[in-house]
Formats: sequence, C-alpha cells, structure tokens
Amino acid sequence: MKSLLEEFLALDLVVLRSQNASLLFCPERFVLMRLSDEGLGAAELALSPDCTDALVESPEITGFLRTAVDYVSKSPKLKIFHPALIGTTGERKLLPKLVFMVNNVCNLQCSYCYEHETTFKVAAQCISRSAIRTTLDKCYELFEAIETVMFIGGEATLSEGAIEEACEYSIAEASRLTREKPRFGMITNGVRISEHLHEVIERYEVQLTFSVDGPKTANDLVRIRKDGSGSYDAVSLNIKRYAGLHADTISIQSTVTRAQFDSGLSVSQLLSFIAAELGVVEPHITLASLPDGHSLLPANADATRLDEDYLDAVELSVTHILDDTPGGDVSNGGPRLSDVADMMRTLASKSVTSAMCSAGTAQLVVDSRADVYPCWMFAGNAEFRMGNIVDDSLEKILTGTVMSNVTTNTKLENIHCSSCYARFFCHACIGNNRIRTGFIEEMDPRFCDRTRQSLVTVLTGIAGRSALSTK
Amino acid sequence: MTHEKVLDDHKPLVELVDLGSFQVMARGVAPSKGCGCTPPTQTPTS
Repeated sequence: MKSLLEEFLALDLVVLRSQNASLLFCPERFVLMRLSDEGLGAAELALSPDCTDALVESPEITGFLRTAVDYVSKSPKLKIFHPALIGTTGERKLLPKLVFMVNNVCNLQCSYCYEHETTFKVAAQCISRSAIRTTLDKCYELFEAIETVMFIGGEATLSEGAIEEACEYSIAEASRLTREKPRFGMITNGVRISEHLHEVIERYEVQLTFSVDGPKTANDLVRIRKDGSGSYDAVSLNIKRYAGLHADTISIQSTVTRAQFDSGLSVSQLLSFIAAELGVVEPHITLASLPDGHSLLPANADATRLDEDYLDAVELSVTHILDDTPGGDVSNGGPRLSDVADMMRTLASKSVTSAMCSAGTAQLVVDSRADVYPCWMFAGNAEFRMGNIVDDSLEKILTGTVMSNVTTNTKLENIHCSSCYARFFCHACIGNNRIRTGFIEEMDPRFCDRTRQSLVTVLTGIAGRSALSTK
Repeated sequence: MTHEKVLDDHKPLVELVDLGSFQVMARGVAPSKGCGCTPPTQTPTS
C-alpha cells in the first residue's frame, strides 16, 4: 500500500511560482491549486528528492498532502489524442492538411528566410498540373477526404495557375467521389495578388494568412525585395483589400528578429499595431529560429531582453483575454498572442495531443518537384525527403524511415518533453529544432524556457481571477 | 509566518482553483483561423 507521500508524488505535480502567487499544477489532469506561503513550503518539502514519510508527519503537512491528492484524484485524466495519418485497423482516415509547395521562387528576399539555404539554391520550378492531379488522385484513393488544401512557396501567389488547378480539381474529385469538399488556405507575403488571383481566392474561398513583421519602419528592415526596397506598402494594400471582404478569416503571422528589437518595436507594440492597423486581434507572432551567428539573432543580454519583451506581451494577452471582454464576448477583447489564446483553449478543453506538431502527423507537403516532406521547412533536405508523389505509392511514402522518425518523436516519448509540465501546451516545431540544434528531437532551451514561463503567466492570471472551489 | 498563525487565520495551505467559469469563458475564444503550423487537435479518423 502506498504511503500518502507516495500517492502525492505519483501525481506528477509541479510547483509554479510567480511574483503574485504560488501554484500547484497537475500537468496530467490540468488541476490548478493555489498555495499559501506554508502550502508552498509543504509542497517543496514533499517534492524534494530527500523527503521521507517521517518528514511529512505533522498534521498540517499531512492535511495538505491529503487535500491535494483528493483534489487531483477527483479530476478526470486528460483525453490524449494520438494523431496518425496511417491507421492500424485499415480504416480510411481523413487527411487534415495537404500542402502544395507550388514553387521555389519568391519576389522577396527576407533576411531571415531559411529557404535561402535550401529550396532557393536549386533551379526555379513551379509544380506541374499533372503532379497536382496525381497528388490529389492518390490522396483520395488512400484518404476518405482532405480537410484543408493549403498553398505555400517560395511565394505561392507567383503560381496562380497551380493554385487554381488544385482548387478546381480537388473540388471536382470530391464531388465525383461524393466526398467532403476541402477548404483552402494560403500563406503569402501579400506583395502581388493579381486581379485573376483575387477572383480565384473569392471563387474557392481561399483563406489567407499574410506574413508581415510590423509597421513599415520595422517590416521593411527585413522583408525586402530583390532590389533592397521594402514591401510594406504593397502588402498593407492587399491585406486591407482582403480584410475588407474577409475580416472574419484573415490571419497574420509575424516573425520577430533583432531588427524589430533594435528599432525599438516591442512585441506588445507589434501586437497592438497589427490589431489597430490591420484589424487582426490574434496574430501568430514568433521569435525567429535562426542558426547561431546569424546577424538577426539577438545575442547574450539582448536575447534575454527579447525573451522578457515577449513575456510582457504574454502578460498583456492574458489581461486582454481575461479582463477585456465587452459584453462577455471574448472574441471582441483586446489583442492577444495566438499562442496564449491556444494555451487557454487547451486548458479549457482538456483535450491534448501527443504529437510534437502537425508535420507528418496531420499534414503532408508536396513540393514543386513532386517530392513529399512532412513539413515545408524540410523541403530540399534529402534526409527528410519521403519519396516522390509521381514515382512512388503513397503507402510507401507514408511508411518510410522519415515518417517513422517524425511520428515516434512524440511529446510522450521525447526525453525533453515527457517530463516537461508545459508539454501539452507547447507549440513545438521540429523544423525550428533542426535549425537551432541540428536535430528534430533536440529543443532550443530558450524556446522551452519561454514556453514554460508563458504557461506560468497564463495559469497565474487565471488563478488570480478565478473563484476558489468550495468542493 | 508559522503554521499556528495559518491555523489562526483559517487560511488553508492549498486551495483548488475553480476553472468552471474560465472554461465557459474560454469557449468563446475562437480557434486560430490561420492555415499555418497549427498543431493537430482533432481526430483525423472518419
């Protein structure tokens, strides 16, 4: 029979401390408890490696352990979803996302783009119409339906014929086979969208995610054309045109580098700018993952200050989500980082995934040469090439070594993630891992620390505003 | 602060945070709209 201390330790609890509160959190059940100063002492004593049953015999600490064990035991375990493209029982599954990397050319040369070292080094090519059709034929043969067909490049808008072909053929095939029709999406730099492409976007309801890194003074430091001129003026016009028609679906992603930091633009200011000027309250803002020595990677004290700056934006996001809810409708609240909102959605839903990211577990990428990769970030890297959609069977592509290496690297198996309390809240990126550490399994410790500190800010914010249970 | 002081104040060492109202509120936080690298959250089985 387990002692009370052993029961307590088996719950995998963690003490989280901030300036305002001390919390006890169960990452396996999302149970959140507030600690008094004495509770904090009791928790740290019980969780210390040297603790013994004899050290927790006092009535206060015994009462503390019993209460904590009861709180956690009464809460159901999380529903952990294990996504996989190939099932074990032969059932026909959905493909959540098929990505066409329609070309390997771009009309910008953003200073931090990782494709300078990969796809841009080989001859420019647009994906062929026959490769698009073969891809869709093989996907509809293996999968019940494709939920989303997404376009990316290079720069996807430079291959509008390929986009139109993929939309038209996938809709036609879904109809012919009486399958669910896919949704469409595209990530674009937004510099050039022709009238014809605007018409295609409207016809197929293509959701657009624009990449923009701040106001003109900051954006144009890094998102530059081949002649060195900035791109903001052109992008903002296309963003406003699309947003005028689709304010409910437009999305924006921003990459933060040393450029914004040195220009004095904080992450919180970037967040506010995107909401005020571009009308998007929940942008996807990330700190760039760049190799050591890159000129845009903040170093030493600047790197620490940038992390602190990001965490200030996390705090602001928490405040906006939890406090600024006009009419009780949080979708009308102030600007917030998408990662913070996602943490809250995860906490509320108690539904989590063991997958590190969508690469190979919820998406397939076909590049302009018809080569297949788990994510566009690996395009052009031979070691991550899964096969060729024209030459190989999709079954063979999905059961190769690359797929195995990616799908076994789960948050439950990865040595860094499996013991991390933020594992089910983290938006890990195996492409970024490879850029920073050389391996998809090896995290950037700075990213992990930032994620854990973000979660502490979120949980502290919730605990400070929520009522205490009387149960 | 000593344990005696805590007991005097009737302040418990540990209190459960009721996430009920937060969960209701968080349902109104619309899911991400973008088509980028959103992690898988729904079962892909049909």
